[in-house]
Amino acid sequence: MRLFSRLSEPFIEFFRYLPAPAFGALAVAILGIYDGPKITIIVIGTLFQQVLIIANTTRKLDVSLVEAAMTLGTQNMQLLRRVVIPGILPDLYRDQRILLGWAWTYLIVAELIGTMSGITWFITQQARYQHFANVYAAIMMIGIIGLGTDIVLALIGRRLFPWDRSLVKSE
Amino acid sequence: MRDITDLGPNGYTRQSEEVRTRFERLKAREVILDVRALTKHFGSGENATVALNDINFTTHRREFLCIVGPSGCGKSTLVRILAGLEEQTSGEVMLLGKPVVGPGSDRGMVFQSYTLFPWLTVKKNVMFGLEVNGRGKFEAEQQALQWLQLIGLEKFADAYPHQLSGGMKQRVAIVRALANQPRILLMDEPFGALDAQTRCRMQAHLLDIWRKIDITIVFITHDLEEAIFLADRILVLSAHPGQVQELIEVPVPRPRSAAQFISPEFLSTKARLDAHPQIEIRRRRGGHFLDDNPSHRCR
Repeated sequence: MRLFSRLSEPFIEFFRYLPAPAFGALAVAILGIYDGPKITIIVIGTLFQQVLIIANTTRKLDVSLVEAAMTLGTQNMQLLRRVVIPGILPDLYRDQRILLGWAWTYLIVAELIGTMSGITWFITQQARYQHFANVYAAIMMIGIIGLGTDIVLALIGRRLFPWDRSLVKSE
Repeated sequence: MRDITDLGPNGYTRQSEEVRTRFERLKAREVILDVRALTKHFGSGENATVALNDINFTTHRREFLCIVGPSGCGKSTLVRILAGLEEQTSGEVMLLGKPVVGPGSDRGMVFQSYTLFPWLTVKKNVMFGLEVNGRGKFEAEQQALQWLQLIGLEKFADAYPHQLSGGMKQRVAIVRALANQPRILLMDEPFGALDAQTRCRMQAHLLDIWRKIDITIVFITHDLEEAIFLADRILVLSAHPGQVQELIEVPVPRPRSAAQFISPEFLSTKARLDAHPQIEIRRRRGGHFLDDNPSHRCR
């Protein structure tokens, strides 16, 4: 496992530091102007963060839980399936909520490049006509949608992980 | 009247006939755990520190062995090696004649920190070991409920660990380890994080469980009174390096009760333990020094 992380992490770090919007022009050239480039940018922007965040969250799992499971006779895959995954799931869920915010940001950036529709396209177009009231409204809408999804996800999280006290406390 | 003089602080090495036969019977029983010339070094080469040096002891069937020693004597390392969570540098650990390699369900372990799985209910925690060892769900559930009845927590079967008090959590952790029917139960300061009152109740609880089932217990503590109250024999370790100083046979008769904390047998054993210069006698607990009179300890 350690060998695997040593082999893979430098590459992932490298990709993580490449700003996703820099791939915009490339993505449009390769994938055209519809949803393709948007999805590409969001994936580039979040996937590599995702890998490192999951690795980090997994490392934070209380080792004594794994040890307790081992003394109960748990081995290899069962350890992963019965202890590691359920143990990190609430934290992983929280990570996803944070990354969803990032995905929003990348969506906005993606829509600046080579699109003929979408909310950012609307914002830039309205700004060009100096209809700032519309611009504010669009920004507000992004904010409300973002906040709304996060609240809904938090509520779902509480349902999914009734044992997770930090989740209850943080809300 | 028993002759108290030969139990006095200076004559404590003499055993009464009754106590001697009790321990002869104990030592005639089947050997469960056999530790031979066990050493553990941390690091290597010139920087290596010796954590454990030439540890030898055996435990017999249904024996309650306590290991005491100052902090840094490697008692936790020792029990982790017994559990298979750490590897020894040299020497052997034999369980029923077979060398121990890695952790396994034949040795149960209770940790000082709370290690119940927070995402499982109390019942499912107890079922955990049974299920990973291939028992059917129904059978595991029936057994788990029986274990919970034994510790009086059947009402909490569907509660999550965070809803339990510290003492309850450790009771569940004990039966979770016992549900696998291990040959030996290893306990690493399991009551160390509990307050004094709960600790006392837990000690009585543990003796009660131990009396009811066929289990050998190795129990680590730094609390001398706890060791005397619980143990058949007490293994005294010294620090830097961790070595066996003495193996004390506790003369206090069973069943044990809080009243025995002032019995001559108890006090003489205490005096004998106190004679080891490295062992700390007074410890802070909850911000107060404990009352020096041990009879006030458990009410």
